[in-house]
This record gives sequence, structure tokens and C-alpha cells, in this order.
Amino acid sequence: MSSSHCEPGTSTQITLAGKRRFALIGNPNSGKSTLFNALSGLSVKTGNYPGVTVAKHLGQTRVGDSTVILEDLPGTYSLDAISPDEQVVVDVLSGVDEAPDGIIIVLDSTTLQRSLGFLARVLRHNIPAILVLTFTDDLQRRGGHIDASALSRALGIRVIPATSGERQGVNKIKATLAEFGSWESPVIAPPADAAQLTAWTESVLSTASYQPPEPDRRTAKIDAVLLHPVWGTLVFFIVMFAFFQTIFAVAAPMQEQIEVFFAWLGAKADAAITIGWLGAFVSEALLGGVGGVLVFLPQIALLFVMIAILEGSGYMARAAFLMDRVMAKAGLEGRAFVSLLSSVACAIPGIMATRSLPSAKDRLATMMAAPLITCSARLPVYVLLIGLLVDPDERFGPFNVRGLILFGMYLLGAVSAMLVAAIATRLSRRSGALLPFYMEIPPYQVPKLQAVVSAVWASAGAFVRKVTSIIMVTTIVLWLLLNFPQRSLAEMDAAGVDTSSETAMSAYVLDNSYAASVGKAVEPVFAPLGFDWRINIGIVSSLAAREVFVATLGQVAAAENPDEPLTALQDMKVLNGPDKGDPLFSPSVIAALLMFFAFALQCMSTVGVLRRETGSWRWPAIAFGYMFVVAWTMAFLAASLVRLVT
Amino acid sequence: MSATVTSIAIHPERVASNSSIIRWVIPAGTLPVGLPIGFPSPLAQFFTDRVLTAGLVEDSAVWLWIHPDESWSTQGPAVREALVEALAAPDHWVIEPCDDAVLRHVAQDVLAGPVGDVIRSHGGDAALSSVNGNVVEVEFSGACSHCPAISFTLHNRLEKEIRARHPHLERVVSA
Repeated sequence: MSSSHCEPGTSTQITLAGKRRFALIGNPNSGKSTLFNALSGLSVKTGNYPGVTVAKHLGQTRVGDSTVILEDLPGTYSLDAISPDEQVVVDVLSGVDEAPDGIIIVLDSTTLQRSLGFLARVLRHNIPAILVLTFTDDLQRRGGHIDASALSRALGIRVIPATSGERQGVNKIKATLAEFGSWESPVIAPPADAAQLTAWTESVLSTASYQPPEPDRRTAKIDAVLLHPVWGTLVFFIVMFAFFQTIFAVAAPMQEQIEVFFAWLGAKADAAITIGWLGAFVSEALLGGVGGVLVFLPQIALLFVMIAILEGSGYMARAAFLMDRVMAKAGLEGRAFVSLLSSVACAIPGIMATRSLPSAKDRLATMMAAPLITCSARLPVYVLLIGLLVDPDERFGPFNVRGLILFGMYLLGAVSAMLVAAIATRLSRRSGALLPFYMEIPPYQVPKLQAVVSAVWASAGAFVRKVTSIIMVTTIVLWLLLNFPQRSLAEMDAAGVDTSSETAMSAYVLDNSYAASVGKAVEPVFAPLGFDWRINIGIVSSLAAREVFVATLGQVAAAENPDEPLTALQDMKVLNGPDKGDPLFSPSVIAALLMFFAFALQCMSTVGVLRRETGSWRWPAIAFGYMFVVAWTMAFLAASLVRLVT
Repeated sequence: MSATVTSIAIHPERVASNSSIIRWVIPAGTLPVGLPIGFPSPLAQFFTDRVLTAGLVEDSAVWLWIHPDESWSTQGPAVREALVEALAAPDHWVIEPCDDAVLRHVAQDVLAGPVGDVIRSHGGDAALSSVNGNVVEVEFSGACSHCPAISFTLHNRLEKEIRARHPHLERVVSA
């Protein structure tokens, strides 16, 4: 669940012609995708299956003298074709598109009793196959046992045991792929009848001396507390709370370093560039705007470190389990929680994760709710606004007030997403029973450093790419809009501007720019919230990506006071109206902005994904519309409330 | 899912030396060991129709020979169903005890299987030379001839493996 999902996959070209194709198939969490990545290295290409919106992952690897194509099919527990993911797997197996030459079945060796039936159904398609058994180290550690060669004889196909993150297993698989021509196939296909299948599974496992792993004793002890209805829930909130405190406490010093660096760079640029407009462009648009967003890199990276640790340690699955009961109140099942949880990184992977939901109504309800979860793009906006509102050292008891408010914002996002899901499921009048909810509860373990590092690397990379592409482009366009049309000295003289003051001149240009016209055009909408055109232009531009709001304010501030943009923001005054001369970023305006960003669907990528996943513009239009109305209303209420108490 | 009736746990395995045989692994002790000459219906019908030609029962498997004109991939599912039914009525089988014949097949199968693979991977070879009164005589050749580990292989691997499948085995000796 990295925000790299937000961008279409890019990488090397993969040609299919004349190459042998192998499909990886298995249950979710069976280590299938890890294996796929280990096999195909960096040559992964992401696309879509025709007609449906299930992601298609292709890779390639060299085996022997030739290159083979690998396809990572979506992880599924069954072949019943009730969800789009399962449909894709069934289609591939039955050769609707073009059946692969061979199949690599990946099963978690610790849960074989359950997954062997799945294997049987795959084998019935009569496509040459091999079985890769994952987590055999885990099986052994927990007192389980399997005789892989006996299993191979019983199944009639080759079996390769593998442990997570071990080179040897990968090499063995490659060697087996090279021997494709001589793969054995089952002498008789496994039975289809349920009772006979159960008997077959039992017979095969007993021949392979299969001993299922004992429940991890350490895990059982920890779970007695962490899955406890009372203590577990309490711990859950403490963990979540610590999560957000850490993001502030640890990231702040790193952030300062980046700010210092950009200030230094700005000074250098100013001194070096003698062409007036170019200097302004570099220091305002590039360093003030883009740099202003890049400052949040430590916080984004830290967010993903924490998520990777929660996932790697096994706590994330418990959190989903604890939340299953809460989800049921909203009419959803536990699987929807995984989607909502992914949305903490970015709503896009969250929306894509709804593909595992078998019910179309559940999918829609979850999709309508997911964009409300506080995503990593909201983080810079919140951090900036909270930073304007509260002093860094302010404390409430032992807690940092900034962290407290941020935690509150996350809580607000989660609660409102649940409410929306509940309303959406009620409106669509659910019919039919809840489908079975499977979820792996893995044993606890120390998170693997490599997994944490690569998760952070990928998400930090995606953030930097986003900053240097869409955010940079929007920022440049904005700079042009903010600085044009240029005014001549004569014009300014005529307008009564003090032409001896640099600041007064740039303020005049700003006030009469194209951007100002746009901002002023939407003023009637936002005036009740206390926003002036400078905030409005930030809101309009943040449609491209929420972080652009920060970049825009950074530019506006840099134009007024290039040396201290943050102070400039704090010192910004209301330009006209009854409150003229008061600080623009008053507590009520900040509260309104926080509410607005919490609820509004200010993200065109999300709108695009909603369009793709639902197949029409209807649902993205509904989502954008309802979220805007809620955002405006909540912002208005918040502003009024704050005005009342202050 | 259909109503789950507990079915006798079986699965088919190849016999390395002969593609017309399937070794159906069954729960140990379901049937007495020996050569079956009478089968309960509907399994009997397959013999009447000459689809199946012979059978053999070891401690935890039933061997069935298919007619050379038939194929396991097409007849297999029907035979499986008939066999499951037949296994539910062990009293209706007529089985002649014939330890030596069963032991010969088991020993041959083991020698062609993983234990044999280990021997062959070390440059040796082992062939069954005789079976007499639950004593198996194996002839080693190639690298095995002067191998100091031969006694270990004989007792700890070969003998153990054969005994697991044929508890009446007395010992394995080198010819």
C-alpha cells in the first residue's frame, strides 16, 4: 500500500511474442507477489486486464538461455468467480484470453489443509503446473512438518519448498522453469466433488506426513491481550495515538534541516541569477512552491515507516480483525477495513483494494467512503495549517498539542468514512447474506528491515516523483497566473502604488494577476467561510493534488516576503471587508480550512480512479458533489463555532 | 458446497516403472495384504469389462492395472468412485495372502523411487534380485560395489522405507 499506486506503472518494455508465459497463482498473503518480485527483479510492468479494472502485473526473468514472461495473477481464495479478481483468475485458467504455458501455484505451507482444495481446482484445468511451498521456515519453527518429495509424488507435480527472502529457492524455481518440457502432470485430475475432494486432501496430506504448525505460543500470549475486546481496543487506540505523536516529534527536526537547506538554496539562487523574472521564478515557484511541499518528505517517509512496521510485525491484521466488528456496524465486512486502512496512504490503492469485495454494493459503499480517510496528501496541508494555529511547544498534559490535533483529524476522517459507508449501505438496501470473511492472522514477528526500507523507499520515491511532476507543473502554471499580466511602472504610478517599494509593487501585481481574477471569481462561494482570493486560488489549484495548496500558499507568501515565507503567512492580513487588517489565518479560517480539506474530494487522481473502477462518471460526480457540500457545511460550522468561542 | 458425506481418503500415485499401474493410496489396514481375486461391485464391473486387468493390495495402497488400450486419464475418475465404494465394504473383497508378490512390487517401487534416486545420484545402482519369505535381496552395482556407506543405505533407508509400506518385512540383504 504505497502511494506509488497513485501513478501508472512505468518500466521496461515487455514483449510477449514467442516467449514462454508462466502465471503465478495463489491465495492472498501466500508470498506470491514477493516471489514474483524476486523472480522478475525490476522488470515489472503494470497494466489492466481487458474489460475489468484488475491490475495486471507482468515481469520477465532469464531461465537458462531464454527469457520467460511471468504474470502475477491477483491473489484469491477460491475460483468461484464472485469477485472481479477471481473472475480474472478463472478467465486466465480457462484460456478466455490466452492460457499461460505453465502455472506456478504458490501456497503457504502453514495453511495447507485449507489451500489444497484451491490447488486441486487449479490442477483440474490441465495446464502444466508446479507448486511452490512458501513459509517452510515458519512451518518448521512452529513445530510443523511436510515431506515435500512425498507431497510431490502424491500430487503428481513438482514441489519446491521456499523460505521467505532466500535466494536458493528462487534459483531452484528458475531451474525448474528451464525444465518446462519435462514437468510431470497428475496421473488423474483431482476430484471435483466436495466430499471426494476433502478425502483426496486428507489422503495427500497424510502421505506427505503433513503436520500443521502449532499456534505460535508467543503469538497466542500476545493476542490474548491484543485481541481482547476491551484491552485490545484500548491498545489499538494507544498505538494509533503514538503513531501520530511520533510523526510530529521525530519528523520536525529533519523538516527544519530541509527548510534551512531550501533557504540557503534560495539565497544562492537570488545572488546568482541576475535576470529579474527568472530569479523570482526560481525562488518563488521552484524553491518556495515545490520546496515548500518537499519539506514534508520526512513526515511522509515516517508515515510509511510506521505502516510498514505495523504490517511487518503482524499488528495490522489484528487491527483489521478488531475493526471487523466496527465495520459490521457500518454494514461492511472486515475486508473493507483493509481498503480503508490502505487509504491512510492514498485513497487510490484503497479504492483499488475494494476489488476483493465480492458484493458490488459493498464495493460502492467503500469507494464512497475511502476518500474521506486522511491520506498522505492531506498530511502536508494539515501540518501547515496546524503549524499556523498552534505553537510548536504547546502542550496538553504530556502531549504535544499539534500531535493531538493531527490525531483528531485522522480520527475525524475515519469516523466520517464509517458514517458514509453506513449511510451508503442503508440506502442501497442490502440484500443477501454477508459472504464469508477470510483473513490471515499471521504470527507476530520482528519486521524485516528490508521490507520497511523498500516500502519507505518506494513511497518516498513516489512522493518525490509526484512533487517533481504534477505538483511542479501546477506550481509553474500558478506562478505564471500569479505574476501575469506584468504591470508597467507607469500603470502602477497611475494606480497610486509606491513604486519605490519592491514589496508594494509585487503585491500590486499579485492583486491584479490572472490568478487573482480566478480566486475572486469563486469568492462568493467561499466568502462565508472567511477565505479570501489567495486562499481560494490555493483551493482551486489543490484540485490537481492536495499538496499544491501548500505550494500555492508558499508562492503567495514568498512573493510578499521571500526571506521568511512562514512568517509572511502568519502576518498575512485580510485585505478588505469589515475585518480588514486582521490576520488572514485566524483560528476560525484555519478551522474552516482543516474541515474543508478533511471532507472535500480535492484530488483529480481519485476522481479518475473512481471513474475507472465504477465504469461511469455517475459515481465520481456523486462523490465529488456530496463531499464538497459536506466540506463546505462542516467548514462553515467550524468557522462559526470558533468565532463564537474566541 | 454440496452436503459433505465423509468419503474414504484416497489419492492416486504413479508407479515409476509402469504407466499402466496406479497405486491408490488408502488408509493403512483398510484391506488385508495380498492379491485380490474378487471385488465388490461396481469395481468388479471394470474387471468384467476388461478395463482393469489386475490388482494388488499393500498395507496402505491398492494397485490397479489398466488395460493397455485404456487410459487412466479418462477412466480414472470413474475407477476412483468405484474404488471408494468398494473400500467402504472391505468384507466383500476376496484377497489371497501372498506376501512375497506384494513385497516384490513394493521393493521394486521403493528402488525406483526416492531411495533409488539417492543411490543413482551417487553413481550407483540397486536392483531387486529376489524376495523370499519376507527377506529382500538387493544387488548393488556401480559406485555402490565398494561403498563404505552401503550398510547404512541398506538398513536406514531401504529397509526403513520398505518396512513402512510392508510391516511384515524381515530384513533387506545385499546379494
